[in-house]
Amino acid sequence: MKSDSHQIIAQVYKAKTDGRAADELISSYMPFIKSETAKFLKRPPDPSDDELSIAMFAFYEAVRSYTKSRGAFLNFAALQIRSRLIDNYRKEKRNKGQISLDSSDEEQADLLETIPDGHDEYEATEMREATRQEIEELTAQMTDFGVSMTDVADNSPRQSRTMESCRRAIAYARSHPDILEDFLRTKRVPIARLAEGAAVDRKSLERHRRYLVAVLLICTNGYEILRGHIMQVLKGGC
Amino acid sequence: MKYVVTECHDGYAVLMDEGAGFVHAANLHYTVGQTVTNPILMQEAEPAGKSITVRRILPVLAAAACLAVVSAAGFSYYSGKYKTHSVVVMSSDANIKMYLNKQGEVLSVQAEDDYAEEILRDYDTKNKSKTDVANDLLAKQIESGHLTSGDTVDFYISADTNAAYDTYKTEFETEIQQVRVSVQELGAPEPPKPDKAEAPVKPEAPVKPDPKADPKNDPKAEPAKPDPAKDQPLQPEAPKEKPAQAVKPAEKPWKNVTPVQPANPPAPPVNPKDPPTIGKEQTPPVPPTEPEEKPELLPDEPKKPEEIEKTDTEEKPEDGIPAPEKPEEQEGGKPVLPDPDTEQPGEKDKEEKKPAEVHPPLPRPEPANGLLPKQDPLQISEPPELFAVLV
Repeated sequence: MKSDSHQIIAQVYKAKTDGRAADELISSYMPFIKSETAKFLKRPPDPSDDELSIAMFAFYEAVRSYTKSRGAFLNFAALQIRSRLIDNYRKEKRNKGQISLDSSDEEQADLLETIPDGHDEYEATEMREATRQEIEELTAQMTDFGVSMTDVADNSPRQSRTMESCRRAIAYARSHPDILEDFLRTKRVPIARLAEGAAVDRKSLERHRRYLVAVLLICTNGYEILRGHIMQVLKGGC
Repeated sequence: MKYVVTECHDGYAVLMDEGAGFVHAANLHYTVGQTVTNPILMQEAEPAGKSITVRRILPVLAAAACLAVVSAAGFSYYSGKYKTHSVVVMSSDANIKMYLNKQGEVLSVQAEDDYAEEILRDYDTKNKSKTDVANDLLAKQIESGHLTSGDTVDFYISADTNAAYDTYKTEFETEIQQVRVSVQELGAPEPPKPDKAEAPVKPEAPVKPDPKADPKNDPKAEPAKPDPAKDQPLQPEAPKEKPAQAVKPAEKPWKNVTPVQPANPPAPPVNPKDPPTIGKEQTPPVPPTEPEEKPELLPDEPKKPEEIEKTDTEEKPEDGIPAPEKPEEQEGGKPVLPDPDTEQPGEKDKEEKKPAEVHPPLPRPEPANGLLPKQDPLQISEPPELFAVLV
C-alpha cells in the first residue's frame, strides 16, 4: 500500500514537467476519473460527455498542482475533479434558459437552419485545415528549437507587465528583419539585442525564451493564419 | 476572446489567444486548428510552500522584525547619546558634577553647593567637551579669585569601563593647564594625606561607665579607678515598695545579731521617703534581710513558744471577728505587736492551718438539752475556757 502511494507520487511528480508522462498517467487512471464523474452525474459517463473531459482536465490540474503536503494524491484529485464539475454545473445552470444551436435534436436542427448564415461551412473547414497545417508546421519547426507547445504554454507570461515586455521585444524583432534572419539561422533567440533594442529587462526575456521562440517563428514568413490571429495585439509591430 | 487550438491531449489542450498568449484548457473534443470562444482554462496553481497560514503570518513577522530592528536602533542611539555613562566630579571651592554620555560628551552639569550654582548660572554646556567645560568653570573660579594657578583641583571620575576611566584621566591631566589636576576614581578610598598623618593622635576620651549598666556584665568598669564605694560587695537595690522596712532593721529585736557586713562601713541611713537614687555615688540603702539570709542571721535564738502563740492570736482580729478574752496574750498589759519582719506570709498560713498543734482538741461534752448543734470536732477551734462557760 505504501509502495503504491509512493509510486503514484513519483508518477505525478514526473508528469508535472513531462507532457507525455502526464498523458500516460491520465490514461492509466481513466477508471478513477470515470468513477468520480459517475459519482457526480449519478450515472456512468459517456465518452462524448463534456463532464468526462472536464474531469480529465481536473485530473491534469491536480497533477500539476499537487505537493506532498496536500496529502494523498487520489483524494486530492477526487476533490479537484468534484470541484471542477460543480463549477461547470453552475456555469451551465446560468445559461440554462438559452437554446443551443449545436443541439443534436431534430427540432433544434431546424432552428439552426432557419438562421441566416453568411458563414460558409466549406470555407470554415478549409480554414481549419489550413490552420492545422500551419500549426503542425510550426510545431515541427519548434521541435528544431527544442520547444513544444506545452512548453510554450507553460512558459507563456502570466503578468501583463511581463507580457508587455515580450510584445515590445517581438515588435522590435519584427521591425528589424535581420534579427529574425539571425534567429532562424542560428536557432538562438538574440536576447541581448532584443533587450537592448526594446529597452526591456533582459532577465524577463530570458525567463520566457521558449515563448519568444514560438512567437518569433509565427512572426516569420509562412504562418499567415496564425500571424493574422495575433495581429490585433501585435498591430504596432507585426 | 477567440482561441486557436494548437495542441490536443487526452486531458487538456493548448490554446493560443489573440494576445499571443498560450494557455492550457480542457479538451472539450477539440481539434487542432479549431477556433473556440469559451474554453475552460486552467486555474493558476498556487506556488508551493506558501500556505495560507504562512502568508498570513509572514507580514506580521516582517512587521515585528522591522519594529524590533527600529527599537534596537533607537535604544542603541539613546544609550550612546543620551544615557549617562560616566560622572565626573570637579572638586575645588565649588563642587560641580558633570554627567557624560558614552562618547564622553557632557550631557548636563549639576551644582553641589551654592558657589557652584553661582558659577553655573547662565552657563551652557551645549556642544562642549568635558575638558572645555572644566576649563571654562576653572577659569571662572580663577577670575573670581577662589582659585589660583598653583592650586590643585580634584577630579573624581566614575566610568563604566577602566578604558574610559583611563581616557578621561589622561584628557583631564593633559588638557587642563590652568591648575594642577589630581584625578581619582569616584568612590575609591581617599589616600591618607601626610599632614593628617603627622597630627598627634588625640587620646580617646575615657569611657564613662554606664551607671545603669550592670557592673558584672560590663568588663570595662572593673579596671577603672578604684572606688571604695564600688569596692563594696554588690548589694541588691532596695525594694521600692517597702522603703521603710529598709530602715527598720536597727530596731529589730534581733538587732544584737550581727549580720554579715561588708568590709567597708555601712552607708549612712537614707530617708525612706526619698526614692532610691540610681547612678549616684551613694551607698545603697541597707536592704532588708533576705529570706535566704534569715537562717544565717538568727541561728542562736530560736523563738519561744509564747511568741509563737502571740503571733497566732494576733492574727485573728485581722479576720474581722472580735476575739474573745485572751489573758495569756497580754503580758504586763502591753500588747505584743506583730513583727512584720519575723513573720513571713508563708509561715502565717502554716500556723493558721495547724491550730491543733497549738490548742490540742479537748473532749467535747454531750449536749444535755440538745441546744448545741452537732459539729465536727475537728472544726471546733474554740478555746477550752469558753467551752467550759457554755457547759
